[in-house]
Amino acid sequence: MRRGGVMSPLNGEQQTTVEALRDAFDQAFAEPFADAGQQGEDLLLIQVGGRRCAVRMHDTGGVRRDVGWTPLPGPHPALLGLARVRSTLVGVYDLATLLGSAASRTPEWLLLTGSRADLAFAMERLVGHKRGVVGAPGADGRQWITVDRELLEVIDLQQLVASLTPVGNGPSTAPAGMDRARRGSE
Amino acid sequence: MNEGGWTFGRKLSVGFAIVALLAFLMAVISFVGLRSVVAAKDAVIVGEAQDLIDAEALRAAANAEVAQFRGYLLTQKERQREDMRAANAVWGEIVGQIRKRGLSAEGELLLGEIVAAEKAHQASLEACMKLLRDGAPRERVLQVFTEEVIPAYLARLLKVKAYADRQRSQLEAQRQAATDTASTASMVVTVLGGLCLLVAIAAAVVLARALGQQIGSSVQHVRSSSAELQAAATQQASGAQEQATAMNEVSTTLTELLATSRQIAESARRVSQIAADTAGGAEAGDVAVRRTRDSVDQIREQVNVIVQHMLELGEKSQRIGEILEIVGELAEQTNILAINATIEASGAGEAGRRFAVVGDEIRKLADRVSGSTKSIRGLIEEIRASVNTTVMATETGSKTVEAGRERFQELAEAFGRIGEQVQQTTDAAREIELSTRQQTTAVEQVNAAIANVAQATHEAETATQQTLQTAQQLASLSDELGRLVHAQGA
Repeated sequence: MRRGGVMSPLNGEQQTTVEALRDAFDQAFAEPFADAGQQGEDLLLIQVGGRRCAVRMHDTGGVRRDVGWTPLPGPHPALLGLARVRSTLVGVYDLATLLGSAASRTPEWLLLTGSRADLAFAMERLVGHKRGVVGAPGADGRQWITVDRELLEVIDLQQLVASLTPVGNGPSTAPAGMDRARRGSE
Repeated sequence: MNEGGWTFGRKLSVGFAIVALLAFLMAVISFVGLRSVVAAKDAVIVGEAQDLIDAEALRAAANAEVAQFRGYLLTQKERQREDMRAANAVWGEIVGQIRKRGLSAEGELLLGEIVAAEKAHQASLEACMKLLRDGAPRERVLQVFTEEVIPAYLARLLKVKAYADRQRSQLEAQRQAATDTASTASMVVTVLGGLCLLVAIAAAVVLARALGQQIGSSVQHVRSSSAELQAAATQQASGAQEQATAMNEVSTTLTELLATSRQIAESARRVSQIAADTAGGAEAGDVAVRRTRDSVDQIREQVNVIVQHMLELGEKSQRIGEILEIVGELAEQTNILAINATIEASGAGEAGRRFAVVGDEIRKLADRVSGSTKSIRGLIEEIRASVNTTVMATETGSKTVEAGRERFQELAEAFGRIGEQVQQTTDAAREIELSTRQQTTAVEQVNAAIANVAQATHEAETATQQTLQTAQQLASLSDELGRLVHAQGA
């Protein structure tokens, strides 16, 4: 598909870029749907605790930005507070603290989990989306993927969520008791 | 009297004064003696001889009177009688003259006797003539003539003869006295002449001795002084020669100074010309600076316009950035939405795979929009930075232009001052030229004066040579004088 209507004369480099964008856009319509899931896994590249890492997209339930939370004191050191996402209260945990790194200084993003709708992890920044093949687990059970010649750890969100589930007291009850909690910036 | 302190001339003067005094004294004495001799001779000649002559004249007058009387007796003519009376009158005049000159007592006595005899004779003549007038007889007349007139006549002649004899004897006595006086005067003059000669010889001897001693010592002094003078003249000659050499060097230096002064005058004239050209250049520069200042004013206005446009460009870039922020925000939200859509599609199983592909494409578009937005943001930042840089540069340029305008103002003032100073320089150069010309004239005059001094030095050298010769001659003269003095002294 070609579109005309150039507003202003472009130089050679810009014209080349525009042509490449058009070709890529048109190429996307030319590829079959089956090809999309055959080249690896969809990964979200995030920045946590000053380092970049990846999470599997099917483990997540979405991302939010600039969602304020209400600080909530609790026994877990990574618990930051409570936030409201689509009229649902979710518990916000600092992902960096959970991963053993220093606490994030400016966590502006929330990473929602796919398995638990009442849990969210605060992270510093969403880097992007990447489709790739995750390597086999190592001796310590950690997985890695190479993105743009950078080796990134693939965080297992399900395991992380499982580690936050209290014994005999499901995490669903704790956030539920805080429906009336005051919201942050909303 | 300190004789040793007397001068040479004083001694000579005293000696000659003594000699002259003696000569004067001798001359006075000679004059007095000669006057006395002359007076004696005059007395003899004028007095006594005249008296003797008068005595002879008396005798002649008496004879003439008698002769006329005899003629009257013979002729009885009145003319004879008048001649007789005239002879008597001559006789009376001679007697008067004798008395007028003065006589001694003896002479006066003799003259009285002569007058008495003449009166007696005159009375006898009158008686005889009375007889003739009375017509007495001739015999009576002859008798009276023989008896009275002739004796009276003879008595008268005897008296006159006695007077004449006396005068003759007195004349002889006076002549002898005058001769004696002359002899005495001659003796006195001779004696005095001898005395004067002796005194003159004595004075000459004394003077010769005194002057010999004094001249001898003076000759020694003159000899030593002449030696010193010779040495001084030699030294002065060498000094004069050195001075002449120095004068030549000074003259050469003054000639060079003259040439230098002329060069300075020429340079000053050229400086004046260059200053005039510089004044013209400064004036042209002033005009150019004023034009440039006007151009700078226009540049400043254009720079202000540029700054204004740049500020507007910055504001518009800011607005583009703000719009781009909205676009970026929309792209990011689209990206988030696409990611969430992909997540939702991946959770929908096989049915969501198509939607996942669309969401992925939307995400890619959002990523590209975000990337383009970042690129545009970068470009805008660059534009803003460029605008800021341009504004700062233009402000700096404006300030520079303003500073340049001030510099041009200062430059214009400086050109004005340069013009004034160039005028002052021109005046100073002209003054220098004038002064240098005056200096050149003065140096020429000095050079001429130096030439005169050199000539004078040359003449002084010549004079010194002459002085040296004179000193040598003086030395030889002093030697000769010393020999003369020593010979005289010996």
